[in-house]
Amino acid sequence: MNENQNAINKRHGDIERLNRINFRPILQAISRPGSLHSIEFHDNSGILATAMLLLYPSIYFYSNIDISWDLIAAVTGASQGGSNTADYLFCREPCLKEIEVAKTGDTENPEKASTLLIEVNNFSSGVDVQLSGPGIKNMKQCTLPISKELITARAEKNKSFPMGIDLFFLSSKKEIMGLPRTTKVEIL
Amino acid sequence: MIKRVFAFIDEDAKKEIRRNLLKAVAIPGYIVPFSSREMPVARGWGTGGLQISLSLLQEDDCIKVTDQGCDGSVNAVNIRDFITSVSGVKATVNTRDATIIQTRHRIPEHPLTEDQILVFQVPYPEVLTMVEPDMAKQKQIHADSDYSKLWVLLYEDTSQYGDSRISNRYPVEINSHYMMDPSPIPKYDIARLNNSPALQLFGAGREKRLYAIPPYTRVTPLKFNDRPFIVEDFKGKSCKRCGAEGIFLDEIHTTGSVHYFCSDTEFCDNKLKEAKDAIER
Repeated sequence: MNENQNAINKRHGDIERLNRINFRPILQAISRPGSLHSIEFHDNSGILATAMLLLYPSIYFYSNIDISWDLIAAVTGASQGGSNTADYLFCREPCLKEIEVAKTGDTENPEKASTLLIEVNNFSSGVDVQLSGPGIKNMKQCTLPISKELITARAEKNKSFPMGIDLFFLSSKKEIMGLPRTTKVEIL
Repeated sequence: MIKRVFAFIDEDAKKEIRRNLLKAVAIPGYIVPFSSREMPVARGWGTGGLQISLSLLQEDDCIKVTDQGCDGSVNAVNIRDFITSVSGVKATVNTRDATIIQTRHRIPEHPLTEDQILVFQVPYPEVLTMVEPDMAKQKQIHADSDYSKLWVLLYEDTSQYGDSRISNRYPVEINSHYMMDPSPIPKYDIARLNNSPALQLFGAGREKRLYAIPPYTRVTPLKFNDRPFIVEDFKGKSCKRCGAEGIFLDEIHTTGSVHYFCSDTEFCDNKLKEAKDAIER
């Protein structure tokens, strides 16, 4: 019994450690749009690692990624919801429909908007853009690893600040990039 | 076996604070409500800043806690001791060594870097309390971005007294949208909020609110275009201890005389040390 309890405690301790290691790069990613930050994976997955960090009992999540979410739901206590009701959407492209229906909050409660975490292959291919806005010193040029349609759909969602959606991109190289609703994206 | 939690707060509480911090950074200047937990410090004594710091901490962090520029005040010492005792992280008084700086009512004099996070303890997070006491109406004003009541207050003060009577908690506009309470920092520090390389987080534990200013974000004080923003004037005055000029000074009145000392004690100690080292070289 004691051994089992110790094993459970160790497992919880490992997850809590992973969460605090991953929170800082995620916070830096949303604070400094367009910059890359390293995260640690959970079970070889950045999506699962961020799900462990972000989900808790009062949160709804949605995913179009073909992995088992039962264990994540059981461990975090979060519930699965639709793409139009979820607080966090874990996606892989194509996810145009998800962006179009994601929550944007309202003017009184803009924090009730959805955050999308999009799994991408790498940050070397995609659309060359110029970013500006809070968190960026003057301007920043980078490559967004998504389609032009997705960039246009995001701009449409974010046209009425403070309402809007926040995005994160996660690569297989354990890198994360943030794109908050305040960031202006110009396609080069 | 009793499981010891790193940094005092349980994981679900940290997750809620972290989620709200991410939202606060994504919506600069917007006040995000959070379910502020009971801490072993009385509410109103830095529990908001403390909860943010504890949710940020990693094992390799180095924390600095300062209270009105002083690392040796009772509030700063107790919060610093508490944080180190529940997390085991290193503590410092040196601004340059710190990765997280928790502060009450001042921004350290030494310029901050992109690798640092500044956490403010906030007593009253709502900038509109002086013109609108109703919380529902405050929320509506922020939603409409209609800050005419603040502008009227500024107009009345300017027409009657020549300038705003607000000495601290001076209203600031974040990224040309939300008006925000910058916590009771002096006017001298207001300009230093603008375009800061460091991420700035604000926590009000008693009021259960947190908000943020991302790095490199435009922060402007509430001011008419044709009126200058006048900060505390220390022209011709210097620190009696280290001789520093052009920084924020504390004014100490003794019988029949006034003395000035650096408000930031770490800055003062470093300046003294540098002068001493230069003499020894």
